[in-house]
Amino acid sequence: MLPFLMRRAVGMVGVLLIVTIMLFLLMSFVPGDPITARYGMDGSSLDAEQEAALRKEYGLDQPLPVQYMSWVRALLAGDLGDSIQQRRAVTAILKERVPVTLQISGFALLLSVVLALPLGVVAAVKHNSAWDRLVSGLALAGVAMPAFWLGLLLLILFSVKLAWFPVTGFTRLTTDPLEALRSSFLPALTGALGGTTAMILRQLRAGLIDVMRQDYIRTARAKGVRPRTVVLRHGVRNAMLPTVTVVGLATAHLLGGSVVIERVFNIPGMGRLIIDAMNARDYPVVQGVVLVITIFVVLVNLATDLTYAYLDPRIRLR
Amino acid sequence: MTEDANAGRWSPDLVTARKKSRERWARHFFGSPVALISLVCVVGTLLLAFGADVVAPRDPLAQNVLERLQGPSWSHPFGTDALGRDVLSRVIHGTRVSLAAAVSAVALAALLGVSVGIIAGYVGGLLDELLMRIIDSIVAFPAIILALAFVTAFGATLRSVIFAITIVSMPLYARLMRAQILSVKETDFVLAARATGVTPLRIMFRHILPNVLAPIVVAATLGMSYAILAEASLSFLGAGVQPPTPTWGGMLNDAARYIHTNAYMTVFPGAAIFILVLSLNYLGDTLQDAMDPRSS
Repeated sequence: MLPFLMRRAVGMVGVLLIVTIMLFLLMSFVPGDPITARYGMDGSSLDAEQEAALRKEYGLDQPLPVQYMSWVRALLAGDLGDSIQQRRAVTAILKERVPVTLQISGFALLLSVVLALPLGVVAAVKHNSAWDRLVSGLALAGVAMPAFWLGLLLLILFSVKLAWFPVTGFTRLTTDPLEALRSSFLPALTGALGGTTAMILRQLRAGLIDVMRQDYIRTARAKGVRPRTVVLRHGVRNAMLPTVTVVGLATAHLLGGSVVIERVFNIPGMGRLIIDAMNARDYPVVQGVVLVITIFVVLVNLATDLTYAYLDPRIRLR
Repeated sequence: MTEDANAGRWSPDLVTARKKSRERWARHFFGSPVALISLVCVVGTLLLAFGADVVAPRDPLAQNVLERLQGPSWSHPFGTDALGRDVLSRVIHGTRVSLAAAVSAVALAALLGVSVGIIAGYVGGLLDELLMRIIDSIVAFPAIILALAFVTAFGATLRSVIFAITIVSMPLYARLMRAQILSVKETDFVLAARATGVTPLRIMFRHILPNVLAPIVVAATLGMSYAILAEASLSFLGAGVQPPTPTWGGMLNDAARYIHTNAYMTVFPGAAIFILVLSLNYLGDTLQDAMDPRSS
């Protein structure tokens, strides 16, 4: 187990390096820099000397590799630099925004799994029945549904017309758990129905249909094992392996989707932060958000692999 | 290809095999009403895009403040937007950006991905390792944010949108192609070709490629729906093709401001995206079944 973890840790650092370098390069193509974005392109409010002083202060006068190296050096000391727009530490901003996105994405993931598991099992066990066709049809629709459209429709129906949920505003789990559930329900439902439930459900259904054709299932039935136990113990357990991978993919999908969902529901999370920061050319913030998201995605992948190893002893032994 | 050489010989086996395969295709596409409807929707959208100037009842850019924010009526079947523009005409013209972005991005991504996949799979070794690590890094990152970064860097134009979607979709084709190549590379017919002294380039393009193209075609169909969603998301976030050019995502972005008073504005552009993506997904699934001789 230990060598496996070590190898993965090295791979993680590699991915983080490549992603941040790619982003540094990309940002260098952006026309204008944070100084012109904040003080106006014409530079009317600043004279050349002040502009040069500001560039120097933020290290923008250095060549790109030097900027990158100093960013990495500061990162190792736990410092992500200061936001040029908000004039405070990027780590402080992230501390406010990351929990918001995690609350919504976590809730969405929970909803997806809770919806996908029973529906997927029913569709697979009653393969080719009306139930199966209904569930599969809904799943196909879920994949095709643009999340922002679904979000707007849910908002119109449940917040504007029925007034069951607040239209805007966001409550943290730590301030008021009940209100937090209420304010994150629609965004989470949007995330779940607009893709991830369907992803998980389709994989589980396909996997389970495949497993239920295996000889050991026939053996279990012939032994007189109860149908319920055959499905849950012998079937679902084996169909869970590929499903775990898809749950990992779904988590990454939700983190990316937060950009759109937070825009629709006006939620102050990482998704909104990165869009605002990109528009303001606020490189330190963009880099910080990208770093955090990449770390989460990489950790989710690691968790997926570990779950895999836990579920399948053949992988553990290798 | 050898198939053409054999076609003139009328070998009875080949004729029956071909007839069977044609029957299978017909059964898959015309035997299912949903597949037929999907095909009609996709072809219909294509026709709308080409004939938008003729089909659209009004100029999609013509503003009329006196008729702003109206609900559906006979003169404006889908209503009007905040500037009094005809929503039906804008939805029809919106097909252009959607399809232009999706078709070009998928074509480029497939071309690029297939090339990378062939090189990685066939050459192998260190080059394979390097290419696949780059692909892994692209995949490790949420596609929409990567696409957003591209568009921010290179400007919100159709060209950068296409470029952004190409980059985020390319890994799928590269991985698929590489896996296919690896499985075909050691088969007898490739070994035989190599033994008779056929050049590697010819082996790749004449012997291997035609045998592994089917899954790429399926992936490209499904990739189209993904590209359409991606373009719409970018436009919705204001990072797509800029106004006044009508885009479905951009129209939804405008409509989001009026959900309290003019909720119907969200319905039509969203439905257009949904129907097109759903149809493409269904066609992709049907294509997959039709190409797989084991399915019946």
